[in-house]
Amino acid sequence: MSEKIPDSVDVVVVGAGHAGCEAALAAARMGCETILVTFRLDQVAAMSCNPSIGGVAKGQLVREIDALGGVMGQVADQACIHFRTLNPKKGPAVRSPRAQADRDLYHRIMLELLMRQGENPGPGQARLHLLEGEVTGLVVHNGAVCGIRVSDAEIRAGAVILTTGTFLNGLMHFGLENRVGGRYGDPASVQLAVELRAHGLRLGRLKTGTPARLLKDSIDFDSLERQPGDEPPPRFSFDLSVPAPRNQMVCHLTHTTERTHEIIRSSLDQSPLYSGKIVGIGPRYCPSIEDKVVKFPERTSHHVFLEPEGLDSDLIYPNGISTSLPQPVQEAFIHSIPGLERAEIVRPGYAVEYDYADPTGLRPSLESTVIRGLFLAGQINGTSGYEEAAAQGLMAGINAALSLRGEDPLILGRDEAYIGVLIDDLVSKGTEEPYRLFTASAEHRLLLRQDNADFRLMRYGAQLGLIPQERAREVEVRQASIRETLQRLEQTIIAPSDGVRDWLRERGLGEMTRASSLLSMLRRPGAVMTDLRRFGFPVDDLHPRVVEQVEIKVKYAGYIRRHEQMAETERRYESLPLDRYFDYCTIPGLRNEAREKFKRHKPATLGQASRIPGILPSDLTTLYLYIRHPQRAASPQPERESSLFEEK
Amino acid sequence: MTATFDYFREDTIAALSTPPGRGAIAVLRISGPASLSLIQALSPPLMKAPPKPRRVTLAPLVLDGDILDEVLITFFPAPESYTGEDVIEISCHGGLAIVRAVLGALHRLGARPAGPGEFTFRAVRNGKLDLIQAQAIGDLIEASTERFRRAAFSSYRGILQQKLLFIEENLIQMAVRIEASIEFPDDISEEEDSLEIREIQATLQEIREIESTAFRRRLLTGGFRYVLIGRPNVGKSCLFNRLVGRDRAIVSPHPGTTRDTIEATVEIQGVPVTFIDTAGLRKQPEEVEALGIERTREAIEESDAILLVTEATEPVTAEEQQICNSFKQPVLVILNKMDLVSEPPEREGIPISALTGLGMDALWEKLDELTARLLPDTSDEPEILLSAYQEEQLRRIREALISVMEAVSHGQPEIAAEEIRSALASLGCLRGTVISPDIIDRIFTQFCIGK
Repeated sequence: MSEKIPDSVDVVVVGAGHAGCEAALAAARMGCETILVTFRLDQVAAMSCNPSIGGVAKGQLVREIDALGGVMGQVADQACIHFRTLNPKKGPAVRSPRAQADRDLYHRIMLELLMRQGENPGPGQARLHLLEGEVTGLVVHNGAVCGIRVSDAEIRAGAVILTTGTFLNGLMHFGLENRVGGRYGDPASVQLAVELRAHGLRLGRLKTGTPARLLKDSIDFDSLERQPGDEPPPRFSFDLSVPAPRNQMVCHLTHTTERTHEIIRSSLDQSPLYSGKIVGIGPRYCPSIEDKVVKFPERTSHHVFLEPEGLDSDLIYPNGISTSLPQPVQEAFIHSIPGLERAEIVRPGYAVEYDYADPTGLRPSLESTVIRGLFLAGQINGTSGYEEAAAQGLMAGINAALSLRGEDPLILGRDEAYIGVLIDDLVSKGTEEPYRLFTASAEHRLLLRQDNADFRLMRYGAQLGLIPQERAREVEVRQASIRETLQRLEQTIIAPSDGVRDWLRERGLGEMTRASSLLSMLRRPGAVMTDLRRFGFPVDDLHPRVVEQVEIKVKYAGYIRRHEQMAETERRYESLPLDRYFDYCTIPGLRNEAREKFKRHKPATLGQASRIPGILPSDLTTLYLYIRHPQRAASPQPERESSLFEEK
Repeated sequence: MTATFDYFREDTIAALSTPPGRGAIAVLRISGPASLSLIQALSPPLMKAPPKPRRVTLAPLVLDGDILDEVLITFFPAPESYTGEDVIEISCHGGLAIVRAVLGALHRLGARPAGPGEFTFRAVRNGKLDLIQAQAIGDLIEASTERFRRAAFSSYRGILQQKLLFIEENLIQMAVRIEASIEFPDDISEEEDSLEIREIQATLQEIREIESTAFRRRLLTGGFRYVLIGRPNVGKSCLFNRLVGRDRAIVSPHPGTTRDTIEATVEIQGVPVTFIDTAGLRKQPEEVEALGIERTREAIEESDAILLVTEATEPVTAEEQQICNSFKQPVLVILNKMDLVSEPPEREGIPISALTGLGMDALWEKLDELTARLLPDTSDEPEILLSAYQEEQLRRIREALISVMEAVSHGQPEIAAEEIRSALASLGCLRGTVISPDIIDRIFTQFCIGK
């Protein structure tokens, strides 16, 4: 870092985790000179918890990030060493890629990308500067951010993106002992939290945890179930110039025992969670082992996945037993797990509590409603997970750049992307526990698949300049080919000849009594595109992605149509804008509770208003009728002839 | 729509609640924050001694020194009133002039004339009634027969709501299990997550029970559904065409021509009767295959009578017998293709030939008798009243559940989850927990003023 850091730039990103890296790269690539500030450059894009990327819903997020021009997918493809598709036997909408990463490699590849952006930005792009230091405050003038204070200096910026992760007022718990810090071996941002509160951001407290790290050589793998990667490995990036991923090792699977649960139960008084030391709320869906034992007393065993931290690493991450119990208890319960009888703890598990800012104080662009030009992304918004963080980081980077250009923000719809679902959930509902994205959070799950993320989003990436134009064109060509193929399938009619009927029976595809199109042939359960070769359909001339998309579209046809219609109706409803400064007290017939909630959440649209927790359908009806008939609402009450009315 | 907007005001409304016209007494109702002060302004003695809650008070109504009438006043303070607001009920003498004078005085003092159903609407808005109850009140008021009244009253008491709550709970449980299997594939084993067909069938059965005990509004307006069933190629479509007098169904000599159901309506005994032609019933030993006849089963469920079409040349199969036994609707057995035999077989049934028209007169006679028998009488006890809208939602839930079964048996949990979601959405509309403005409009504008 010999280069001189400018004292005035377009964008400053605070924190170089998964959100910060995406934000900084997006902003710089969109032409904003950017500084990325972090405590330690040797911890850029660190995987503080499990060494894996993707998973159900999360894998879809990574594909979307990639389609929009973010980098998580390509870094993961290069840095991962074990790839699987989750839910392989279920339908395409819920299949998700997941990979084990080499933690160190992931960091190095990301750092290289950041540095390349600093040394050699592409045409139309700007430089990205990396700076080590602690950001202690924001410079705010007239309700707008105009810079940050870092290590006794001031840097001026048009927009600031905060991606502080678990570092904002971070406090680590090891049993009943605690230590200030956002990650093992790192400090915390205490002063910044004080400043944010003073500026009027509503801060709350959350907690998360991580399990002990075990010494690889001390584990008896031979007795355990092996879990190899899938061949061929699924990939995250749509960019085929990114080297294809390779499986380079296997994971192992073991499980807790009744003895494990006994040890944990008898030590609960030493857990900061159950002794009242931790006030922050933990993630319900990634619970600590003590949580699982307490909340599911009927289960006698929980899965534990043994995940290598890297190819050359001698550490094993035992996925499924995150804990904040004291080290002696951790040792005892780990030794009660098959294969881990003699496991050596290299680093104990711990819990970390941190501040987050109530995300209902954000616009859908992730810009703060309190301070103009301030964007927040990642765990500071109450989410958990690298993928959720990266997705927000990317959107914050994009929207910071757009706002500096004076353009409208990019807001993805709930029917367009999981990223849209994630951000809309956060800014309209808020969260009281670390928010994790689920496929079930998407009402249009069948539309938002990992297999079509590029068809859904790449044109946005290209418009923003984050995706090369020729790749977006390629996607367009493919889309046209999908449409044509579907048309041809519909127009090709097959007669129920004896030969065809015999073949159908042989293939187990059912009976045929009258002429039907190839499309309805493909719709039969079990039928695949290659079956259509029998009818001379040139399946092999089509691009594999076209074949895949046509198959899925045909199988889901009725549902896709239904959802497209639903989404259209919702868009009309959704598109009814609400004035942020609207006085809800003036709406007659609205419950007081609803008035309070609307006032607090300041929904931007009627759709957002509908997702605020505690809002009843009748409140929406009232609001809806009111905004549809403002002229009537504004009209005076009928004339009163008596003074009696005013007495009340 | 524009009328509805007034409904969101929080002012005081007044209207005549008994039918307009001369009567022994008439009841007027006031609801809203100014109810009490309004009546006090109209009745000076009440100013000194306010009416006791829920007690009947005799008081004069005076306007400009004129005594309009001596009336009985009942005060229902909020929230324990019909609308959840302060309500005053006035029972006055039933003369047209008196009612007009009292109402005029109330309006002059500032009470707004109530819109249709506005009292009930306020009750819903203030959480005193749910939408099903509100509709039931409309029905109670309209009930012209004893049967209709009883059914409306049990809807008002929330019997339907209770049953729906139970169904909703089942659906949510199914959704939770299916979603968990999707979101946590590594933590949840296959056996834990599989949703069993018979569990879904149990919920389906609950819905069918509601429907079968329900008193359908369309019985009042007339209208029955007769379904034609039978094995493939027995001539159902041919008979259907004869019955409806048109070449509607495609008739072909290959079994399985009628894939979906086809309907047409004719008039019998002055009542519109819809005939439904169905796909043929095949021998279906496998559970998965049995799903195929669910659509036909649906048509039978929705029908008021079954026309079992058989071939005169062949005996009734055990299966056909079983189908007939498992439904409670009346069954007419038809012996078709009499043109192919010399004399009728020795089993019960109406011998016809759909092809030549032989025996059709006798069949029409039987259909006349059947229809006359089906016309509403007071013998069976309906439990629940369903509006056309509610019936439609129940039908949607039922269809979604059948699709859930199909999806589960094909190993498509995401489709099953999708269908459970749509069933829950329909249930929400049915229970009134999901409200769209147009439904509100439809419900409340059907009321008369003063309810």
